[in-house]
Amino acid sequence: MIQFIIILFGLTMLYVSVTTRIESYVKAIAAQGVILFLLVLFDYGTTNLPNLIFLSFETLVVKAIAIPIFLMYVIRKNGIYREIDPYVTNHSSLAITTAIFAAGFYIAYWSAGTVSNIRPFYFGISISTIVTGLFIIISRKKIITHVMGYMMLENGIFLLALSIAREMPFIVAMGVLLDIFIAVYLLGLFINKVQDSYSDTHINTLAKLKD
Amino acid sequence: MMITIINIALLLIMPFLFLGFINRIKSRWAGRKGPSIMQPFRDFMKLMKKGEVISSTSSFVFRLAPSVTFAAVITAGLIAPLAGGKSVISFEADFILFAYVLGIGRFFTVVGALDTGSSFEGMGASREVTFAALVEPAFFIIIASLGLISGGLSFERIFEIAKGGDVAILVLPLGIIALFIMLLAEGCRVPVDDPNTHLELTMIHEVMVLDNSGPDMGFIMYAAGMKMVVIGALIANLVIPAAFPLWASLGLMIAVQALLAVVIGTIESVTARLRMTHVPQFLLFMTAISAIIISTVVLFIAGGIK
Repeated sequence: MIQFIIILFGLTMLYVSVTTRIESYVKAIAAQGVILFLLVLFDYGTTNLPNLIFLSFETLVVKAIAIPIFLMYVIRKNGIYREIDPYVTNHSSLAITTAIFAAGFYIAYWSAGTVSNIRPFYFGISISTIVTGLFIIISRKKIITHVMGYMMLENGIFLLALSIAREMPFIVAMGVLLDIFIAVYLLGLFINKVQDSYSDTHINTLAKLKD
Repeated sequence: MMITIINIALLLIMPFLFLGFINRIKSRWAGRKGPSIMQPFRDFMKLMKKGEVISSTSSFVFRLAPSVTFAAVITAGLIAPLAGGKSVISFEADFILFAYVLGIGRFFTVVGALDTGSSFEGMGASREVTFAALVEPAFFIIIASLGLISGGLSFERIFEIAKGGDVAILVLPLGIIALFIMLLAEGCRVPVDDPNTHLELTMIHEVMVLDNSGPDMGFIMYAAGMKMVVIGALIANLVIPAAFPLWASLGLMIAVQALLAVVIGTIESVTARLRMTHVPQFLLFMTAISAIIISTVVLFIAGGIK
């Protein structure tokens, strides 16, 4: 059942790589938050109750509810709920993500045989999620998709932490949360303040930024 | 013997109920009471009694096409495992015949459409073939990877054995999603094609049958429903445990098909058709999933991810 849930996590990334609507990205991020919550709840296996409560809060409230709502707010406010403008075609995006996931399964297979003390399935999917997140960041033009790619990358890192450590250190969870906070903060700052001078939130316009 | 009769009866009756149920779900979403679930059957009987109008420019191919398509889909239905995981006809590598029998049906629909000489229908035919070419390899990869796990070569054996073990739980969600995309594409349902629109530039399957009328039209409608039931049966076989007694698995089969109808009706009510340029992406998603399935399966056979 746990593997079933992790597969669904991978599928959200595959969906993200091929969808053309920004709103679908937000939905995928929310779905990933719910999946991480389920994983923490059912497969974390900790005896440390405050830690479990903190992680549940982080995944369900922050990742699955607060951030998607904020992203939707930014999207609505700026009227950018259109297409995502990738540099590559959707077909090649899908092909690359598929290759990344096949490689992720290979990594899971390799780690199952070689590395002890690791949950290979988490490991493979999290590595491929991180790489796909990076790929989304480099292959999309709009700034908001960069931040959302970063969110997915962070979700992958969260999954990676679940795979390596039975007991995820509190400091790791805090670090991830801080990263997300900064990313969303920067996004809000950028979109709400810089929007006035630059109507289009394309990264092409950033190249023209001069003093 | 018993199981054969049940399966044939299921194959013949279910398409009407399936179509009727989808329509009922759609009308519920729209806030209407909706037609009776048996309405597709009544439509079919009405069409059977009607005469036909056949264009003077078309040849015997046009008259042949709907019957051949219908026969092809019935044959595919006999090969696919229905209740109890048993097929009416089963032999080694029958899934290849399954895919190509559906291919023959599609070929005759396309040829029949081209025979009318209408440019609309030619366009629809071109699209149909393009999209079918995207779906077929993915189908083969999925069934082949299931066969790889189970070591069986016929549908019955593939689905019987593929359900046990660790790898099954991985392949299951992916396989269900991929086959569901195939169901939508082959059944000409909403994200790919809209069964309700006639005479529009954006459609695929409906445009190919614009010239058909009377009993031929009835057969085409029946075949479309049956195709969905047959592919739905493949999905159901992924879910239903092999060791179930016949009546339980029969009930589960009907339940899964009803659930599929609910999902299809919901999708049709809440989403719009994809733009034509986006349909290949939707279908290639299935190919991507099948690539992941086969990589998983190969790695499991090589040693396993524990």
